Amino acid sequence: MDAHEEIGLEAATEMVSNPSRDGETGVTHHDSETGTDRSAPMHEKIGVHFCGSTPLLWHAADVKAARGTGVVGTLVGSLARQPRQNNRLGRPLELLQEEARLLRDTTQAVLHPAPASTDAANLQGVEQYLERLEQSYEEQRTLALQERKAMLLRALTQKPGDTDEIESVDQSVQDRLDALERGFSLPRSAMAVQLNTARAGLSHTPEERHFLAADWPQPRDERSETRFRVFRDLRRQGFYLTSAGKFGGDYLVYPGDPLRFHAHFIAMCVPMETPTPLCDLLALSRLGANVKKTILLCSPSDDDEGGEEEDVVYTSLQWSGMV
Amino acid sequence: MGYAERGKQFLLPEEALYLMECGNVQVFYHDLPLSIQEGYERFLSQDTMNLQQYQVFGHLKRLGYVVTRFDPGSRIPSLYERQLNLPQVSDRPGRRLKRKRSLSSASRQSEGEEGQVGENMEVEQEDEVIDQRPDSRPELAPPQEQEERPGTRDPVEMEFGSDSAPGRSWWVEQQVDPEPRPTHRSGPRWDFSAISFPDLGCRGTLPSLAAPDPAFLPGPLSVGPCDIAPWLRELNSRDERLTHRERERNRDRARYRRDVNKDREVRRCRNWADYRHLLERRSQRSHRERPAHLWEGEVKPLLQPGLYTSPGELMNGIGVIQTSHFLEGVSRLGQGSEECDIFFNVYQPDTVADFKKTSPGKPYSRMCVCSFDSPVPDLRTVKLLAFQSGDVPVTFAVVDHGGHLLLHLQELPAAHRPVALRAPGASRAVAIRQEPHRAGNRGAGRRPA
Repeated sequence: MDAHEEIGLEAATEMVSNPSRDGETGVTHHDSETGTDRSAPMHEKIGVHFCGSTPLLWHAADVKAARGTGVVGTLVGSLARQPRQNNRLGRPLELLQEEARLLRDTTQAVLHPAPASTDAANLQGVEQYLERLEQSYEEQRTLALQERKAMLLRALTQKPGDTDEIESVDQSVQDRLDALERGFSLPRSAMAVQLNTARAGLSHTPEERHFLAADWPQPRDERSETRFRVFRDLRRQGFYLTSAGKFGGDYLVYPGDPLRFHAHFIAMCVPMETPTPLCDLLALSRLGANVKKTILLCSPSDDDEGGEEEDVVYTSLQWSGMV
Repeated sequence: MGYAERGKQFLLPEEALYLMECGNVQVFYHDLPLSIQEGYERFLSQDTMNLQQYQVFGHLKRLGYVVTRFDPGSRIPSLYERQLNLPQVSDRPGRRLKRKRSLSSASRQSEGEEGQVGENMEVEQEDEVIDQRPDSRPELAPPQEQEERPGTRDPVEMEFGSDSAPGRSWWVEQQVDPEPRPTHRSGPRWDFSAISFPDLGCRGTLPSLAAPDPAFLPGPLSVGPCDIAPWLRELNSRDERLTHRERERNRDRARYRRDVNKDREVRRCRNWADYRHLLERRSQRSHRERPAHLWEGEVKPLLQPGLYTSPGELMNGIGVIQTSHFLEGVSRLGQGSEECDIFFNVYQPDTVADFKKTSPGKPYSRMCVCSFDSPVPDLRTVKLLAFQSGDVPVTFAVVDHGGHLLLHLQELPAAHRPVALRAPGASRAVAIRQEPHRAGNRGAGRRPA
């Protein structure tokens, strides 16, 4: 099980945090979806939401499905259980523009437009919310009471005592427990509330979705077109790609899942006819040699536009150690 | 986090979102709690903060830094003030934050200890910044100043005079300017062209001055004709006798001296701006071959013989082109870099305990957020930002799909520069330093790269 999926799924399977301690004031955030909402993720399309021009995935099932198709992305949100660290992050999953476009072009994903801000109060929703809150309070109250009882029992029975007194001890314990049950109240402020990661509520019907289907929020230029064609071709060959900003390239090319493999190549997308200064190439290949990767110059050929067999010319640069 | 106003506590959008992600705050909108997704969609927008900026904010916050918004209106002490160690005035008087719109009156904080956090979540908008840098003041050429100077100078002299604006006489302007300014006309209502003034110095005699027009005189005063013959007698009205040499000189002078007003191009100028422009063009034409700055000052030898004994000193001495400092001449660059702005003040995590919003002290760094798609900030931008930031280093956070690189663009200290490099051409060196300890890529620990 890879760590990414673990993170992505963790929130989905996470239950309301344990409300045993009365002093705890907690807001746990986890996913709103129950299993019934998305019982068949294979048939459901991946929902891509946009924040500005950045494509994001919010649902754990979507993240998993995207991973299944080889789209890696980057988790950028705080992890629900451990929010104040940077080593492991949680949803949303940020996608590269190319990843989102590929998902859409292969009709595996559907783009959700940013919702129009509704100013009308949703009375029905409020009612539902309050109802659910009350229900959750009752559940938590029961759980808290059980916990308290178990604690008390443990504390009382652990006391070293004589075996003949066990009857009376049991009796007193029972009394204490009854008293506890009568007098117990879970303060409202101690209740744990749930903070949804993804938007709760019903999604659009397919017709609506088609009607609302978002246009691509970023204008396409030549550069993004080049990048996309290279991306599509490398994906088709089974490579996994992530962004290579830290190496000054376009993509890091992994032979398999990035969690298992080191990247083998740093892909640079250069149009066929663009002259490149020699020093740039030297700097790149020198860098590639240092990080033990091969520089890959990728140029989509100009002649076949949108053909089935994409033709991308790859040139690999390696620093040779010959003296 | 947050700030108090009108007795309520407010959170900035990014702070609210961060706290939501940490699970510390529940934001209500129309009595319904917002999910984190809705928080992203509602709080992050073009006019508050975009996703990249929020990612940098969240990254730094998770690392424990204190991050506040940079207020571009806050006055950063000038170099001079810093040298003098002047106390800082923390806030500009009268500066108030404008509220843009209220997201909801119903959004409230979660119950519990955060309860005192206020009712409204509002989105802050930076208000317009009026920079009060003295250098950027528009050049004023007050007309009064010109009028106060008596028109004693020869127009020709003025044409070659070095100082341009303040020395001009009002009279010449009257001659050149076909229509005098209305302000000049407003004083006396008399038309001086119709009133003839007698020429007392000319030889054609007029024995007496006629009585002035009584219409010009105040009421009861009566002035008769004035006999000027005795006064004229006292005047030296003899012909000027010039020596040969003086005549020669006059002739020379007359040959080379031209009346500005005879110049056709000058006559075509309609106002002073035109005239100044013309002069500039002419001087450019005449100085085209030689670089202007070399001829501005006095021309003198580079070195006095025997002044230096070692080659190092000698090299230092003939450093005609001085090393420029990073912040030199920033005030001339003017305003504005739209694509790159300082966004955050960042304070060290170990100051969290005694950090006060009212007196935050000197930030550890100031943060600009750029993306890989945006152009690299040019020297002008970097200079401007460094100037704006004062003595606090500016860090560029480059966001790349969830990963960050934090870069310092800074000047190499002069001590690291070899002496020979002070020769022309190497007057500036800028180092790009990456911060390895903070450049943590998201998956750096787990994902092999």
